Amino acid sequence: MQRLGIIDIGSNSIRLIIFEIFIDAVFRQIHESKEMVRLGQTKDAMQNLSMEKMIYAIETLKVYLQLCKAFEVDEIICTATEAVRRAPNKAEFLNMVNTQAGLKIRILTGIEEAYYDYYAVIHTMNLQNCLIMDIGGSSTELVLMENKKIINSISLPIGALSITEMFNLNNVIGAYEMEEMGKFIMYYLLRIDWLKSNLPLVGIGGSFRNLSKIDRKLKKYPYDNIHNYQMSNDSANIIFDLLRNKTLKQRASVKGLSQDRVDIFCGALAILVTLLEYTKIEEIRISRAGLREGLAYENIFNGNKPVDNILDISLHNLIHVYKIDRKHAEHVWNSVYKLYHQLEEMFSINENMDNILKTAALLHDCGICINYENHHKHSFYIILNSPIYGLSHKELIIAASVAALHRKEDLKILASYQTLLNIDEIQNIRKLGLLLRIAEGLDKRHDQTIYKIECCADNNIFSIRVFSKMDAVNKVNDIKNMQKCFKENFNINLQIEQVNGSHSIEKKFI
Amino acid sequence: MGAIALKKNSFDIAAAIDVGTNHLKMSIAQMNADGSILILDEVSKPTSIGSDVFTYGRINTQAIKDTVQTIKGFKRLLIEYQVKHYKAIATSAFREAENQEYVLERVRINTDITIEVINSAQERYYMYKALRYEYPNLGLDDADESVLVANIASGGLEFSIYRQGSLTMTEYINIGALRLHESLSDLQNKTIEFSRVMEEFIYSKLSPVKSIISKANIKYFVGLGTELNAIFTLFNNKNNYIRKADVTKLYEKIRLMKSEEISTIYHLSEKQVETLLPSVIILNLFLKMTHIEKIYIPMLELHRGMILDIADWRFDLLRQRNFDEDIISSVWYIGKKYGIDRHHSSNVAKLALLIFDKTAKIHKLNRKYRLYLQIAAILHPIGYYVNFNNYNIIASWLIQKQNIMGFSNKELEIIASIVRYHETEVPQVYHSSYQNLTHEEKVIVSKLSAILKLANSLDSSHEGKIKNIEIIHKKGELYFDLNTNYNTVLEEWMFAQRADFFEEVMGLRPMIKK
Repeated sequence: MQRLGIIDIGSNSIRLIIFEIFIDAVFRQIHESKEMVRLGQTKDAMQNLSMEKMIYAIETLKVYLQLCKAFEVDEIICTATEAVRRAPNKAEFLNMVNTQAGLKIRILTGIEEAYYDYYAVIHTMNLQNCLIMDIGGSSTELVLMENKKIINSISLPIGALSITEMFNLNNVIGAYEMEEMGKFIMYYLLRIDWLKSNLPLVGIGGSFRNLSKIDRKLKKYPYDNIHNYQMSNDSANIIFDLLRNKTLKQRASVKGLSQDRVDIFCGALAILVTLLEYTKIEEIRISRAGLREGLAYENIFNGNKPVDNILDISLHNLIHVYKIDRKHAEHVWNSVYKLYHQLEEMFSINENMDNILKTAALLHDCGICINYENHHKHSFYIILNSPIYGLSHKELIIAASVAALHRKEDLKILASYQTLLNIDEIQNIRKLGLLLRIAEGLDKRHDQTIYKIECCADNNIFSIRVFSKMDAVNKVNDIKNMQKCFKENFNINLQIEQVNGSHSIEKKFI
Repeated sequence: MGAIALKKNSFDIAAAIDVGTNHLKMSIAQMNADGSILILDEVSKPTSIGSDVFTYGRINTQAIKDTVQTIKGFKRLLIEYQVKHYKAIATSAFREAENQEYVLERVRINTDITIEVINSAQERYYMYKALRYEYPNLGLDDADESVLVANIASGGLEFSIYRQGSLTMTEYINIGALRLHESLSDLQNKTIEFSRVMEEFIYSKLSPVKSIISKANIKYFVGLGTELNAIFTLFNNKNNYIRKADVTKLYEKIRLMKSEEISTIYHLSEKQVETLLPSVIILNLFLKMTHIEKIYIPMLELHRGMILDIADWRFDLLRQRNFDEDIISSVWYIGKKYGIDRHHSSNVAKLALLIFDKTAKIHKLNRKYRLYLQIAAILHPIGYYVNFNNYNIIASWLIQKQNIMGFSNKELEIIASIVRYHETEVPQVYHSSYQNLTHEEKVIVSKLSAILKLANSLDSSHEGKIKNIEIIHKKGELYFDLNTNYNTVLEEWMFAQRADFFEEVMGLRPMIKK
């Protein structure tokens, strides 16, 4: 195990994140500190860093170094972005930091900054193509990603703080300011010739996180998870209109808007809505991971090529953390995979459910770490709240629900999330839950004596053949008790029998 | 007048009412200031509450009427004995009854007695209290000998080891009677194989603790809980123990029987039979492992523990403090399970209690809340176990799911809220968990989390830099004089960030004295 500290000197805030890194690319965050230093705030036309802010920054860095020491951090990476990058007196600052705090700062180029954003996104979101946008205090990074590769990227020297300082945003923002601001932002956007419209926008940075929080409060969204939250361009426009028609003081009472950010938030939104209007992008997804996580991933992989299946890594990690019986979990996953693919056409969706089902199957018992009693319900909560990357919110909720049904059919637990699911999805949850109960029944004693199953759907009958090292008649009987429920859900009959010998003669079984 | 006239308030009469599964019981006792108790009266009446609930999920009209009548009778006795302090509780059957609220209300209207429905952790609290009283020398006699207390519950087997009078460890193994029944039920119809497989299974689960138990040099083995009590009653025993040989005999007998047979022969319900065999196997194996010849089943009565509890608080007995330590040691066990940093938690707990004690005149909270604070301080980091994001919210969820001896669900909610607000977050009216609290509870949560915020900030470095704190109250400000040999820049920086909320709640600005 190794501990890595990342200090990110931004224009708006200075942050420290500490990660704990295990072997096999498994890591978790163990600490976070932020201080709104506003290093990028400068009255100097040359954009020199002010002495006052530099001193504040150094004091903060000293405290962070103490924290790193306290957490026994092995390695510290300290980076600075646009505010320092553009400052003519940056050498003076670097020198002060080095002599007073003994810390060496790496100034990232705009392109590097964009690269780390990208690197964080491919490790925490299951997307092939997207436009990544990171709105910082003094700069905005844009990355075009196609087939998980960077196609183009740019760092624009405009950010939440700089727009706010340039235009008077403290009062109601009228048509004139809107137009001027729009023109100014468009000046930068027009120079980019690779922007596209038919892909999702992935938003990074405190302003995006805050935007999602406001949207979740407005919609009374029941799931408290920022990462991968999806919202529309319309919602972003509505929130911008809501805020710009208020004075700074009135904005402070908008639910979800952080007091640290209330003064510069409209600046960030202006950049976003201008980009949305220009590109006609409709879907926004929020990423909690950004520059700092990107740096951590780079450190973990030593610059090797990114991992393919981020979901597998998350699940592997959680099986370890929650001390789940891995053999049992995998046995259940193998069985339920087979059952599902034989019945796939009975589900009212075309998408592949494998990722959902894998999550539910591998983690169905994770609630035992809370308490055996009601552990299916605990599994539901834990799946929803664990760091699982590669599933959308909806997929996570479905996976958690299916896991919650692994002992009996009880949909009560879903009640508060029902607004996010439609009838078909709820039906699918019931069906997958039933399949999971069957799979669980095949390895009830966690001893893996059933080494193979075959199944086939034919003539209104779904047959399962069980190959076992021991007499499995009781397991078979248990599953027979689910026949009625099976008929209700799939509208065909369930048959199950134990077969002697290692192969089935009939070809229809797979 | 004789010379031995009792001092005023040196004794009191207390009563405990226990609405159980099969009986309504009341005991009336004289409790003396020295902690001793003298039972004056004990009454008991059979009830069908349990069978109603286990069959229909509700308590039937007749049983409700009977209950109200019986408690009316209890009430008359309370008046006769001029009882000042009483406690009325209901246990498992009531917990599961869908119509418990109406029943409680009817009792309250007709008798003016409020019954509290308690959870299994509270039951355990009274039971351990009674145990501690009945066996005050638990492991006290000899430094090398220990007492093993085991409780077979539905989800797991819990055992504690007492040495030299204090609880030294509590271990929890996931082989409860119900869990075994569920995971092995497919074998149930094949009786011979069922018991064999179950035995192997339990043995493999118990083997990790074998060494702990054999090292502990167990002198007494005490069994608690409904499962063990149920087994005990099968023997019609005059002693308060069961011999190992008898357990083995029972096991050999029932392992070949079908559940219907067991049910008929021992007059047990289907539910009781389900967990009987697993319990007997666990017990049998446990006895084998410890080389102990007999297990004491004190058949402790809840109401005995309740009377003792009333006395402990009424006379502020030292006994309660020792008991609190037992609770705290079980809380440490929970913390360990979720991988907390033990040093940090114990630093924060120490600092929180120092602040609590030295600001007693400001917060005016009693000793019960000191225990809440201590538990919250120990458990504050458990949320990391699931996720760093929202870890304070996750921690508060986790706390509500724990069984902490003696704590009601409501109390767990309060502790959970204190933990939720231990860092940057402060109570907001739109937090539903905060909304669910009463006005008084909100104040308690706010005060205690304000203290916890400061305590946690004073161990930001996790290094236990601060040995002691003196707190000086001067002109609307509270000066914290830190006794330390270290550089505390980090702590002071964090402290300043957490000071606002404390000031808002307590009306005094906390400052570090330079």
